[in-house]
Amino acid sequence: MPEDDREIRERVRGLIAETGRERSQLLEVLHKVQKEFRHVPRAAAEAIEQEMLVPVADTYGVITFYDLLSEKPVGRKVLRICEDVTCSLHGAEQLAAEAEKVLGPEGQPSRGGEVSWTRCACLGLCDKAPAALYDEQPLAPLAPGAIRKVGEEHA
Amino acid sequence: MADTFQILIDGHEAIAHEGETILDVLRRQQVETPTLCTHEHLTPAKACRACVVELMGSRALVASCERKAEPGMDVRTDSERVQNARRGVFELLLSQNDVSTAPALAAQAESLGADPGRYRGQRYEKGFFDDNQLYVRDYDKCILCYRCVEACGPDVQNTFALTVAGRGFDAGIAAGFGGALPDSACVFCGNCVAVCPTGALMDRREHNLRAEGRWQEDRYDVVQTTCSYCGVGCQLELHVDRESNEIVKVTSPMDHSITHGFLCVKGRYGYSFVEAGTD
Amino acid sequence: MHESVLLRRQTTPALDLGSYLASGGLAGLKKAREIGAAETVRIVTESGLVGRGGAGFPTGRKWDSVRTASDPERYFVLNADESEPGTFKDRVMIDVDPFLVLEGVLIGSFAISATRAYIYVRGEYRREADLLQRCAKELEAAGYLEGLGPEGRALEIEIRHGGGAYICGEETALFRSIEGYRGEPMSKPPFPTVAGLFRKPTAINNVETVANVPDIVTRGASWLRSLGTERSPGIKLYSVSGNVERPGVYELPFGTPLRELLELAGAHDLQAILLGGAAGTFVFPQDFDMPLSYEAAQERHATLGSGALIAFDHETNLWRVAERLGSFFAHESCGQCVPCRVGTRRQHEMLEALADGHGRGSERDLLARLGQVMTDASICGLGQTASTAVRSLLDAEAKGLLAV
Ligand code: SF4
Ligand code: SF4
Ligand code: FES
Ligand code: FES
Repeated sequence: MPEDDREIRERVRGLIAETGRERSQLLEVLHKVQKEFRHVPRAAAEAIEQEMLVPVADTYGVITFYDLLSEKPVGRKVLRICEDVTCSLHGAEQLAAEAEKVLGPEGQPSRGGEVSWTRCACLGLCDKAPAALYDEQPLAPLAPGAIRKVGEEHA
Repeated sequence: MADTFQILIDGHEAIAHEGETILDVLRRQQVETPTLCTHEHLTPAKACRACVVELMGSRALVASCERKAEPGMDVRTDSERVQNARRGVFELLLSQNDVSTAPALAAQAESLGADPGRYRGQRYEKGFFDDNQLYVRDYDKCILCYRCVEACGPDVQNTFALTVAGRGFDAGIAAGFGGALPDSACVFCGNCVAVCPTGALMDRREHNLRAEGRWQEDRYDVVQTTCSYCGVGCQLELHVDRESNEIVKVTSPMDHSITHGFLCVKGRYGYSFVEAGTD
Repeated sequence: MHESVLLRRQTTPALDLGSYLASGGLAGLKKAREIGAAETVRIVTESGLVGRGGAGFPTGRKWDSVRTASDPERYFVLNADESEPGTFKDRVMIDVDPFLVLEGVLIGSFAISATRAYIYVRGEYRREADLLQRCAKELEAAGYLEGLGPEGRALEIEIRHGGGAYICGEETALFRSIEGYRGEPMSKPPFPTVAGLFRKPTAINNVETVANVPDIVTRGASWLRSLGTERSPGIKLYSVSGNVERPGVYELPFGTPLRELLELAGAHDLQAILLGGAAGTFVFPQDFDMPLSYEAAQERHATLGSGALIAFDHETNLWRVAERLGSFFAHESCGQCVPCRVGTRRQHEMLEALADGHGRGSERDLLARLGQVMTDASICGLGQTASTAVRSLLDAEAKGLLAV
């Protein structure tokens, strides 16, 4: 259900109030917006401009800089599969292929917006390679079965 | 008088003034130094790295446009390392950008002996945006010099309609929330166009004339006048086609004490009324 | 056998203040308060502790310049943005002993009289950020932050969450990120101790570095110097992964032979290792006897970097490994400067061709040439080291050391 812009602005104002209005809180605010709306919509950037005096374009520049923020909706839960050096020694490529098979194209939410998956750089879980994060929690070592389970969870 | 001191440039002593950049000194010494991103009225973006020099005692090369001169500095501009790095910068740009409207870039590349075919690979394809009456944006030509962002932002205009978006090779200039210019905070002062070194940003009139094959620099005279819209007294340079008597472009001199080259939408784009009287 | 210091609570992590105190915690902070800031900094300087994040700058000297800065507004920043490929020691350090890390932050903040301490945790380490947050709250509630700030005020601690960008581990980019901007590195000089976070004097330290501090303060500078080598005093954490039987974090005194670490981790018959992370170098069996110290690494044109070690067996195509590294740098370049923004892309394209086996024959020369341009002309360490591993691989290949 697409939220209406006025409502988004209202909710973002609330998030700003609980976090802080200084520019240096921008990333913290954006993390909360991302979590709540699964992306940072334009209306959120407008509320940020009004409340925090950060230009809309600046917010856009910031969102597109950081991998954990996005301008387009991602899944409510995101599966991040590491494709870096150690994990690629341990079959990261095949796991990504499996994810594509089970969850569809990379970056596109499936199952009614519940899940999406993406490749990512080293997660600092190399001792448990091949590694992934699912809904912000480590899922390592990641097995094809675990990916299928993620799919079934939201069948 | 401000403090002066000596630095060494390629083994020769040179006078530097407190607060000057290494580039300032190089220019006064007439040491030819390629530059792309730096601009006399904008904060150094130190982004292009065309101007790098070797600073003895420093591990990496430094951007001469940004680094302030300090007493006793030993600067090399003629070393193999410097020449290779500069050439490399231009070769990398030539491997990704359309430089057809960037003659200064092309000339500097040539004088460094840059090989346009050295590196191959994906071109920079950021698209052509034609979304307003006054200027067009052809980002395939953009070298990400940051000038437009700075001119739109704190250095000149304080409008903050532009940003660098994305990261790495995918980084590019965006307006507002990544959409059309009219949907951003843009006030169409065209100051970004005035500072763009590559023709990625271009006034509509120039763009159209070029597209029709009718852009002919050698036919244009520059006529100085004072803008009559308000009382500020901005200096305008009207570029007039001597044969058709049309104004093809309006700029302002970068060294003018009031404008520093920057104008508002009326001064830069409000010239159609002059012609309305002549037609 | 070396007795664990940093990882001494690994088997029974102290995850609440009570058990931390019960196992001897906060003795360093207590001592620091007794001897005062200047003496604390002197001990840390004398111990020879240098930054464990990769750059290896003397910690005490950093603290001293911030402590004696004229600007009363100054910051302490904990860099917990660990993102160097193959590196996970800071994660483990926080997981097993969060209070030890925080005690280091408290001592450091006290030593420089910090207006505020920021803890910047990489966004992917949610669990660790939450853990540090909770432990910091416990310390605050128990009154341990009182009197650590300027003029006897309580120290304020703020936890910040990274946005998913490797470059924010670079200190000036990290400052920009805290300030609410794109994490684009700034030029140095000015250095952080002069103009860091909010352009104020700032001491920024890595997780492992600060975890050393409580023991240095309690046991004295000579204690750290009794471990390791003369030029690399102390101990180091290594993250070992790849083709080994027991991947994990290992703590060893400097100077321990690389071979010993490989044996501990259960490595057999390797083709090579990548030492020092993505910006590190490949090391081949002929050099496995090298001692793990800053000076021995430097002699061999290698680097310990963050202490990451990834092991490769004989089946591994090292050009494929290089291609992964190339992909990493191209993805993580902030995009600010031409040599890195365009160079990392061109480098990755060529590495892809070599790994896939359909190069045009000119890649090797071009990679070396491009590497020099990136190293010389890039703004920050990312671009300056993005070709280090590739160039070490080119050298090794020329010497016939590659298996595949
Ligand atoms: S559009 Fe022009 S001024 Fe703006 S960054 Fe690109 S080249 Fe520079
Ligand atoms: S070297 Fe790379 S990461 Fe560093 S400033 Fe330049 S583009 Fe950004
Ligand atoms: S390489 Fe995959 S988690 Fe580090
Ligand atoms: S002109 Fe100096 S970095 Fe661009």
